[in-house]
Amino acid sequence: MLKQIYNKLNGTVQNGQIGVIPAGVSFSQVTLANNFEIGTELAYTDALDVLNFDWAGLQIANTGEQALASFAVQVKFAAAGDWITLFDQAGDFNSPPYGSAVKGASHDLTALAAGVNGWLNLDVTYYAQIRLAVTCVNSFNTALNVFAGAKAKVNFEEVP
Amino acid sequence: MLRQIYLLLQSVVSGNAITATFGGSRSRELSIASALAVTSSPTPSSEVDVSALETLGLQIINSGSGALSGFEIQVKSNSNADWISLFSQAGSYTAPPLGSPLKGTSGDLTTLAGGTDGWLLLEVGFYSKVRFVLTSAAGTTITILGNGKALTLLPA
Repeated sequence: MLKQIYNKLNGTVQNGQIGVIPAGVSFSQVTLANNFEIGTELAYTDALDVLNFDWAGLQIANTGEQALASFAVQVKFAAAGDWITLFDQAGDFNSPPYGSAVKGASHDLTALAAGVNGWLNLDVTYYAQIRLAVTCVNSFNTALNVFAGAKAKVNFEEVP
Repeated sequence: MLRQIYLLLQSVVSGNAITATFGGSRSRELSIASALAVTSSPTPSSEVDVSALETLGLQIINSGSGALSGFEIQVKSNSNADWISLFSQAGSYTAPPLGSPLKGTSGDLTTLAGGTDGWLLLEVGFYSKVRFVLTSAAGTTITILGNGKALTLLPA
C-alpha cells in the first residue's frame, strides 16, 4: 500500500510541484457577426455556444444605412436539436415579462435603426446555443456587427 | 518507504504553494428519448440521472402524425424512492405558478400536435431522477433531447 501511495505521488509530482491546472475559465467572447450584410432575406449570425455558460451579453451595432425589419433570438437545447425562435416581438425586448430569459435590452431591437448601437442581456442557463435571425426593411442592404460575451457562475475547464 | 513519501511531499511543499485543481465540464447534452413509439398506453422515456444537475433545457419533437394526449413529468427524490407525478395537467405547462420548478414551456405539452416541436425549462435541484411519461391516443413518435447544467463541476 505504501509503495502504491509513493508511486501515485511520484507520478503526480513534476519538478517539485504537483502538476495542476491552476484555474479554469468562466468567460468566453465571440464575434457573431462582422460587417454582416443583410437584405430582406432572413439571415443568421454565427452561433454562440452557451452550454457551459449562464449569461450572455450582446452588442448589436447596425453599421449600415437601413433599419432592421425583424430581429429574433433563436436557441438550441442540444447541438443535434433544431433552432427554436424564442423572442421576435417588440415587447419581448422593450417589456420582457417576469421570468423571461431576456434580462435587459437597449430598446426594441426588431426595428434597430441604421447607425444605432443596441444591446441585449440574456439568461442562457437552459440553452446550448444561441444565434440571431435578422432581416432588413428593404432590398437596400444594411450591415451588423454583433459582439457577444458569455459568462459562467463557476470556473470550468473543458476536458479534452 | 515512509521516509521516501515524506521527502517527496516535502519537496512539493517547500517553497511551493499547492494550488487547487480545476477541471471538467459543468454541463451535459442529454438524449432522453430517440424516436420513441408512443401509444395509447402510458409510455415512459428513459430515466435521467439529475443528482448532479440543477437545470434541464429540453426540446420535445413530435415527428409522428398523431398528437400527444398526455405528457407527464415524474421525479424521484432518491434512487430508491417511487416515481412521483409532478406535472400532467395543461395548466401546469401553460401557466406554471410562481415558484414552480417548471420555469417555462412552449405551451401545453399534453396535446403537442403531430409534426410540431415543443420545449420546456425545468429546475431539478430537488430531485435525483426525472422521466417523462407520454400518451398518444392516435400513436406517434417522440424525441426528447437537450442539456443539463450544474452550478459546480460535474464528475467526469
